[in-house]
This record gives sequence, C-alpha cells and structure tokens, in this order.
Amino acid sequence: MIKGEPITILLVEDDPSHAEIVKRNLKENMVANTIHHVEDGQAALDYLLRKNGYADPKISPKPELILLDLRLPKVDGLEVLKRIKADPELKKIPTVVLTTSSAESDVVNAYTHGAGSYLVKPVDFEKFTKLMKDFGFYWLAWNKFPA
Amino acid sequence: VEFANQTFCDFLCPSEKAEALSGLMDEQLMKRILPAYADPDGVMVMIRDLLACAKPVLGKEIMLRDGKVLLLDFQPLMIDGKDTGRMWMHRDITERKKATDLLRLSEQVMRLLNSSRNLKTVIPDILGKIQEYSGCEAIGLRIREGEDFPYYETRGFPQAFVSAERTLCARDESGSFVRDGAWNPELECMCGNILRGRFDPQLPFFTPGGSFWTNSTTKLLASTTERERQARTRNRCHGEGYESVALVPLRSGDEIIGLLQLNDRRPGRFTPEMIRFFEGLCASVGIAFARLQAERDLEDRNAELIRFTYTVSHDLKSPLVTVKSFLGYLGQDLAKQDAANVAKDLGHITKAADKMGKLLDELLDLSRVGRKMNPLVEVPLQELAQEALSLVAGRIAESGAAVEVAKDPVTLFGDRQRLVEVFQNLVDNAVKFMGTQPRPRVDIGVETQGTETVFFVRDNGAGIDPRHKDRLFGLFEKLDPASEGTGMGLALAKRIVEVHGGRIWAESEGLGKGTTFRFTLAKTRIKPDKETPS
Repeated sequence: MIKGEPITILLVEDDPSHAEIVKRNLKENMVANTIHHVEDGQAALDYLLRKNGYADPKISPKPELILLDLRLPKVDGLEVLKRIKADPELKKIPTVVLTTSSAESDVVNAYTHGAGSYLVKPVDFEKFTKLMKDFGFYWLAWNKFPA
Repeated sequence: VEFANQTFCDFLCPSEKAEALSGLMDEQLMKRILPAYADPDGVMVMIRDLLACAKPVLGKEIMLRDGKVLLLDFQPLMIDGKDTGRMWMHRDITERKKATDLLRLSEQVMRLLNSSRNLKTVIPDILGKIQEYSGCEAIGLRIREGEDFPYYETRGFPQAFVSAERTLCARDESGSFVRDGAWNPELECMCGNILRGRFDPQLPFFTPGGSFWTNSTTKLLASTTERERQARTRNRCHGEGYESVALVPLRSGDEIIGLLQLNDRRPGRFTPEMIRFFEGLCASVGIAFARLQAERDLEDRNAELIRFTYTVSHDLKSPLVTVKSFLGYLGQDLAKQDAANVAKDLGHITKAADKMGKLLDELLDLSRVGRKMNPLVEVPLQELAQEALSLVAGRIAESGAAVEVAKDPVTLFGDRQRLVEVFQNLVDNAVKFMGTQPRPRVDIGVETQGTETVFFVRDNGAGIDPRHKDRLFGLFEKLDPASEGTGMGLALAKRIVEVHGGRIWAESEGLGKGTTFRFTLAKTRIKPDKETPS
C-alpha cells in the first residue's frame, strides 16, 4: 500500500512494552526494514556516535529517522536531542519525539532543540495504530531524506 | 481675661503668675515665653508676621518643648479702624493631635501593608513612619528565619549593636544551639522572652498583650530580679545607653513570628497608650508577614504540584497505553487464534497493570509523608540504622556488602518510622548499585560540618555520573532502567528529610568511585560522651 523504500529507524524507548507496540505497528505497515531499539539515552548516543559496542556500522547502521522518547534513563531524551542537533552529521537525521507527555513545556523544549515533529502516544489502541500507520505513510510515501 | 491669661501662663511659663506678666511690654514678654516653644526662632518669625499683617489667623499649630501642641487663634482688635491691641487664644490640643497622628500613622501603615508592593520594600517605609511618630532614635524588626529571629530591618541602631544582637539563639561551647525540652532553641534576653511568650502581666514592665516596655532601663535593672525579668538578660540595650526600650510581639494567629523594637537613650519616651497602639499595629504587620510566608509556601507547593502532575501524568499514562494497546492486539490475536501472541499480549498487560498498582501505592505512601506524622521521638542513630538494615537484610546478603554503623552517640528527633525509611532507602540504593565492586562496603555515620550535624550513607559502588546528580531524587526517576523498583526510594527519602526540616544530597567523584548520600535534620544532637576523659 505504501510506496517508497523501507527505512532504517533508531527507536529510543525505555519501556519494553511500548517498544513492542511501535515495532509491531511498523512491521505490520512495512514502514521500516530495520528497527534498532535502544533503551536509554546513553545507548542512543553510543549508537549514533558508534561507541561502546556500537562501533560496527553493519550492526549499527546510520538511521534515516530517529524515534525518541523524552523521559529516559541515564541521559534524558531532551539531552539526547540537543547532542544530536549539535553534531554536524547527526543533525541531518530527522528526529521525531514519541512520548506520553503532552506537557506544553516538553513540546516547546523539544521543538526548541530541533525536534522535527512531536507525537503523543495515544492511550487508545485504535488511535495508536492509526497514528503509526499515518506516521509510516508520511515518512515513506512523502518525505524526502538527505542522500 | 484673667482666666485666659492664666491658661496662657500655664502653657508658656508655668513658673510665673499671670499677674506678674500683665502689663509687660511685648519684648519682655517674649523673652519669658520663648524658651517654652520647641522652635523659638520659628515662633519669633511667625509672631512678627502676624503682627505685621494684622489680620485674623485661626488654627495655627504650635509645638512646645514639652511635647504639648497648642492651637493658636490670633485676632487683631480694631476699634474704629484703629489698632488697639490683639487677642491671642491658645488651646491645648495635644491629646487630639496625638489621636490624629496615631490615626494617620495606622492609616499609612495599613495602606503600605495593603499596597501591591513587595513587603520587603514596604517594611523600611513602615519602620520609618513608626520611628517618625514615636520620635525614637532606633527601631528594629525581628522576623523568624528558620529557628532564629534575626533583625529583618533596623534604623538608627549602631552597626555593632545590630551585629552583636542579630541572633537570639543561645549556643553551647561547641557552637550548637541550646535547646529546651521541646527541642526548640533557647532564645536569649528580653527579646527571647517576648518571642517565646515568657512574661508575667502582673509585672509593670509587661503588658497583657505580651509586650515589654520601660522608660528607664537603669531603674528597671536596679529594681527587678533576674527571675522577674524571666531570663538572664544580656543588657546590651542598657549598656548601649538606651533608657527607653519597648518590645512588641508580631503575631499571626496564636503564633509569635517576630517583634518590633523601639529604643531611645532618653528616658520616659513611652506611655501605656503608645504600647497598646503598637500592639494593634504589630498584629496587622504580623498578619501581613504570615500572608507573605503563606504566599511563598503556596508558590513552592504549586511548583511541586506541577512537577508532580507532570510526573504522574507521564508515569501512570505509560502503563495505561500498554494495557490498552495490548488489549487491542489481544482481540486481534484471539480472532486469529494465535495462542503464542495471546500469551505475550497478556504478559504485557499484566506487567503494566502491576506497575500501575505499584506506582499508585508508592504515590499514596509519598503523599502521606508530612500529612500523617507519627509522634516525634528521640531515637539513637544506631537503633534507626539497625532497624533499616534488618529491613533490607535480604538485599544486603545478596550483594555481599559489609555494612558498618558508626558508634557516635547521636540522637535524631522525628517520626521514627519515617527516619528508618530514609536509612532503608539509602542503604537499599547503595547495595543495589554496587557495580563490579569486588568488596562492596556501606558505611552509615555522622559528622559535623560547620554548625550542622550531617548523616551519611557511603558506599564504594558504581558511583554517579555528576551530570545525573540532580535527577537522582526525582519522582520515578531511574538512572538504570535494568534496576528493580519504580524509582521512588530516593524521592521518598528526600520528602521525609524535608518534612523534618533537613536537606539531602548526593556526592560522587564519578562512575566507579562510590556514592555518599548526606542529609541533615533540623533537630539532632550529639550527646556528650560522659565516658570520654577530659
């Protein structure tokens, strides 16, 4: 249904159940061919900067898109975002915040620090499924990534 | 005419009989009466002006040296267009003037208190008005700050006096506060009496409203005993030469939150009416201060509530998202009869529901801290620590950590069960994050930092990245996602310590270098060790 090449996504999510929901949705909608999942902010940075066990680009390929939760152990999501956007290479990767928080301060902070989009996880199953479907359609069918 | 002359005489030169003055020429008369005026030169000029213009002037206020205020009516007497004399009418309006001044002062103070300006900027103005009205050379306001009542603002006191008298708390040789049976610090001197409500209204220098006042500290010290004065007085006011001293409590409800002090080197500056008036004024100032404090507390609470709501909305919503999503998947998987996925879905749902339950329990527990307090008691450090250790004995054994409790004779004062929880959470945290330490060790102890008694729980475990120090005490904050627990332990410890009037913080030189948690409590004391030879 969706046209376009499947993409590589780095999913930064500390809640394993939420990670499972996202992965299941992306798989069903054939959005991503590879989802790399890390559970905390430090691991996300290590992955992106190819440090501490993420050195091999075959194991940790550069993602086309980052899906980032905000409240993360070790290094906070906002801090991860800041570091990504401060890096001349990493800043080109669109970073989408996906979180349960709808607090205005989080939204403003996320955009201030360079988030490409801010998505609030819906409590409702149908809505979450629809969100992931629309998300996939947008990024695969319409979005143009840097080469 | 004779009566009028006598009144005039009584006002201006009481040593003379009216008859003696009658018939005196202007100049001679002036010489006799001028010294009675507060501002003789000014009066001279005024009289010359009156005589020169020769028109009636009514209601001129004139101050006398003795503090009386006269109202002067001047009427030139003209008969057939010829100036035949003048009539000077003097009325004593001292009482009326005083009442008007008082009224004006209280009106001004009320207006200042109600102004939208910050109380901090208003107080100097209020003190200025009171000082102006009272004519006292020095005025000060003490307001409660922590456990002491330092000067909040002073005018007219020598700097050295203010520095020497700033604190009222008695200290022992070690510099610690001396405390009474209820663990409140002893407040010294007459100020301490007024602030603690120690007074005997039967004695003339106290009022039923709990104020102290004297028109002569010299006479007071000579005529009263230390017992009558309720406590040993430092007598620095007297030593500084202040004869008139008044101390009026600032009240908010039943509480005394500070006092107003008026000092003057001249004796006899006060009247009972003045003191009563100041008591009324101080009630208003006290209420204003209490309101300010309440506003500040409310702001803090609000900020805390916002943080709390944020955390709760995120942390409770998270498992709910899981439950709802996997219920959706469960429906799909049941329809597909995909037994393996059904089991997985149920697993996610159960885990999320359990987590929610646990979060709610802990939230409830946290909300009870400070709201429901057990009776406050004195407990030795060792007793609290041992009880805490027995509660986490399982995890300590698991970690293989050696735990040592210092033997210092320290007594903590507070909610016993809550204090145990502080140690329990800190030890639990320490043994949980031992990292790769081959010889894990936890020390519980106490030390003195400045004038503070500081408790510590120190480990040689994983340590903390200095970047994360601020997040440690956050609600549901977990630095290590793999660790057990909901991230509530340290938040709870912090809340308990704060409810006890203390602070808690973490120190670590970095990852792998161990962590030391330190905290203070408002009321602790180190018992003198009688065994130690001096």
